[in-house]
Amino acid sequence: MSMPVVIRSRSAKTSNDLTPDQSGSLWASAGKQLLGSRSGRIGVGIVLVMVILAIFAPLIAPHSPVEPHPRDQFAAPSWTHPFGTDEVGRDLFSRVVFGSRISLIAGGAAVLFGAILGVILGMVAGFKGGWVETILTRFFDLLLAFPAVLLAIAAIAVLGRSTQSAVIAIGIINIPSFARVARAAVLSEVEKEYVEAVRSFGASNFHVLFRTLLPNVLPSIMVLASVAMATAIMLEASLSFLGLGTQPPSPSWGNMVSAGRTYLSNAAWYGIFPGMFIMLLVLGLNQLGDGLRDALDPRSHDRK
Amino acid sequence: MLAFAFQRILQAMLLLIVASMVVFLLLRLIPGDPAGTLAGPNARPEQLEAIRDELGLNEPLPIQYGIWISRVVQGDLGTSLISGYPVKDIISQRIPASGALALGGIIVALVIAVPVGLVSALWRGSRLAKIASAYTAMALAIPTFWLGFLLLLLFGLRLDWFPMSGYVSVLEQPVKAIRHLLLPSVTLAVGISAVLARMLGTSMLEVLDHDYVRTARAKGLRERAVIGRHVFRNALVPVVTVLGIQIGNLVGGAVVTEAIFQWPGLGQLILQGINNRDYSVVQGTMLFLVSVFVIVNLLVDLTYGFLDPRIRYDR
Repeated sequence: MSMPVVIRSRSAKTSNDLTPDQSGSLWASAGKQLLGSRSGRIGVGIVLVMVILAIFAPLIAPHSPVEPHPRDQFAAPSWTHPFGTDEVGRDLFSRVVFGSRISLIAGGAAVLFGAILGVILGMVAGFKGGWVETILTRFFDLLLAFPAVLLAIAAIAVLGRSTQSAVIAIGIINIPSFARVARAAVLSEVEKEYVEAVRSFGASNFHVLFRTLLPNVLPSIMVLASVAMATAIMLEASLSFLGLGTQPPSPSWGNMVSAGRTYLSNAAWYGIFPGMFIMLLVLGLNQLGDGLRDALDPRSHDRK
Repeated sequence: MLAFAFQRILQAMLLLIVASMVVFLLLRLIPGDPAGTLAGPNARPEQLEAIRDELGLNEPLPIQYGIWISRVVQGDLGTSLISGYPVKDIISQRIPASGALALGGIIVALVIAVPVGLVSALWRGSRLAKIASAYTAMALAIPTFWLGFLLLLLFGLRLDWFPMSGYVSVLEQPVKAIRHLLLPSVTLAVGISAVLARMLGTSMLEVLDHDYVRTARAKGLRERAVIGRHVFRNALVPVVTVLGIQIGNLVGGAVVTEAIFQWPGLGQLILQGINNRDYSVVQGTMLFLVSVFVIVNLLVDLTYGFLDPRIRYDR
């Protein structure tokens, strides 16, 4: 059982008697374990490739993702255009490469938005208890009770169609699941001795919540975040496919599949590659989530 | 059971009230004057004034909601800005197509999920079980719209086995209707089938561990009977709840699936409503879909409480 030791030294961090590398030991061993599992390796590999595509998109893409070349309209996949070209002759490979930026940024921003609000609200609910908890949990249950796509469409009807609206809508949808996990984690931690110890030093509620409890709630949040990111990316792509999210000519994978559907009989390859990338990224994030769960679950450490 | 049912019905009603408030607020939150939003850009001033009067837009919000909801309860969802028909009639026109797709989706999802779940639980570690788990991982990751695109490309365009789009009523031409329904149903079903299969698999494994299964085996029951009569039936109970939760995904998936196959259902109606800024249609359809969702979930919960007596006392 290495966990409680690490946790105690973490909360002791406030009294400044902790060497920094010690606090990373849980994460370091979790990282090792993550790469030791098959799903962890697949997940990390796929996500890493996508992140590299997104960061170095201008270097990787051979052509501009938005500039039209009418003469190259609907060219089949070839060496010059590995994924073919679209209705205005844009190189689909370049568009797919740049599309990774939209998917990752939109998915990441939506999850960050939902995670920050959800974790704060969930931790407060679990920590405060009483009527605050009752109202907040009822509110989350309510949000969870509605079909996500309908909520997103409703939000977009109000906010207008754009990537930002999609991000906000998906972020709101993400709040309750993070809040639930955070609340459950706080409830299981708050009774433990180390929290009592920190309190006995006279720490404020804020300190106990965000300096003592947050680091211990974080592993379960991380697991949820990777799965939530997969769902968020899927939802952003779906909204863009429906014409409600990212608008053309921005190269979003979702609206590329939608255009591929329109030009199905002109260019069958059009929608194949962007969809394949969505699936790969979602698969990678799901596998990463599975790997993280096994690696960060304290019970799996005990078993070793 | 009665107390449990009563409590769940009360909860569902509360949910419906909140949902109606959200849908009501939707129209007021859209930037601009709600009367202008409803009447369209070419409305004359006296038209706007008439709408303001009718909806009580000069009154405070709670009264506006009261006026609106009392009409909704009487079945008056307003009229479409584009076609001029009552929204209620437009919605009921679309119900058969959406109902057929939802039913088709659930059937296909169960047809896939049951064998996949059984294989992964009963033959753990076998090659077949590995294929089953690869299927669920892929099925969870594949975007619904892309799956529809691929099916359309392969079976619609290349092989020409199934029509590319359109809906035919099952009541009028059953055979043709099923040909039209098959690809959309599969598209809608795959993601849900993965969730159900996983649930069935884990719940089978859990049930297999129980003492009564050992007793059944010890008394010399054949393995088939043990699995069929004791394990499978008990393992289905949590799957029913998950199916209820999946109805939400079904609604969402249907919006996307309808878009690919140009299926004239309620999802397309909402999208057209948003594209045309026909907000009374959007509002009415959304309220209808959420109500169906809440009611179906209520029925699932009641069935669940009926199937498993422990649930009733738990809450």
